[in-house]
Amino acid sequence: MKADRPLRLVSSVVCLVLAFASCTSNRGADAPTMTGLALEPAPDVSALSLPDAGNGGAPFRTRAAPGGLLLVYFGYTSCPDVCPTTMSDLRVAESSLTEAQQGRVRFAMVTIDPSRDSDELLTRYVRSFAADGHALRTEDATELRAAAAAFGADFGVKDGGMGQPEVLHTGWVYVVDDRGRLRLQWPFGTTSEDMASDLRVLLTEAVGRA
Amino acid sequence: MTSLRIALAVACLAASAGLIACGDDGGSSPSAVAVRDAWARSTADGQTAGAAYMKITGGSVDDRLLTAATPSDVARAVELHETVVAGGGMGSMTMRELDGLDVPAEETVQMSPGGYHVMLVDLAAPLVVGRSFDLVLTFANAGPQTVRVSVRDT
Ligand SMILES: [Cu+2]
Repeated sequence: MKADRPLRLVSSVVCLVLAFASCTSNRGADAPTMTGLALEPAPDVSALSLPDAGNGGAPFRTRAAPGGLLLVYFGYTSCPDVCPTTMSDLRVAESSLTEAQQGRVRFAMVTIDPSRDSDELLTRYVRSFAADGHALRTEDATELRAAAAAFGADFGVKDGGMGQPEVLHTGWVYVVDDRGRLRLQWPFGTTSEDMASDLRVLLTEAVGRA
Repeated sequence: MTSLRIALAVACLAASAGLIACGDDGGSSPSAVAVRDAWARSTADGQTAGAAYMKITGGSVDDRLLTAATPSDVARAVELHETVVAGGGMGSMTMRELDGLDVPAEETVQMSPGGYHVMLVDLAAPLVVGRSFDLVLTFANAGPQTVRVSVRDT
């Protein structure tokens, strides 16, 4: 189904990536190429923490376990198109890794629509994609906005009156390493093959460093 | 990286100039609208809205998809939507409701993830892989057409 992805949308997202590509640079000539966008210097999100709804609201720091990677997504449970597509691609990407590699990758989703996504609903949603996933939810609008800003994510929820609220959100998946650095981000429409390939590069690198 | 960037830049230009054709050169010339590959992604636990996708090929005359409907045991309401990149940078995406979707004669319009979709609002029950449901698409010319939508993972 990847081939059906509308080219227009993917390329407009890619155009935005291009606009940002000027801030990136290659780390050495022998660095393996990755599809995702890497900002340099890698933004530090290690100080950030959000309540983990699946763990009684205990603060969860957005940094991976030693030698691992944390995938962070800003979405909402009533998202019918973009979020489930990305979740599905992520799941396929992760399943193509070795079991040992899979054990080192964790997923966290931050809801941008906490008024409709209750703790319980968000936890169920996240766990149906990733059994060990983290459901991050805060009702503090300032805290949510600051968290999104740390990742460079944007969102908005406009009351739709009688109809559905109009929700706007950045469709990126963010890859954070064990030092809490935002190493890579994938725009909506990144194929699961590309995600898997990038994850392998970063996981191999983490082993080399350990 | 440089060659990739150039390739991307070309892709951007091509897309913005509308050079990327989405049509399907089907050969035969069907007289009625044809809907193929109708599917909806299975929903996660707690997911209240879903989306259905399909390929619609126009008949011998230009047509327009006006509405979509499904039994109330599937969803409370059905809307035609398009996912679009919102202005303001950072690649924010949003959906807008369409008041119809043109299906030009003998051309194929793709409804697919990240683009046009039939939005299923307030699902009555989760969409489960292997199940299917009916969707009635009403066209300006071809009138109502019932299609079977199968639920899949990808
Ligand atoms: Cu929609």
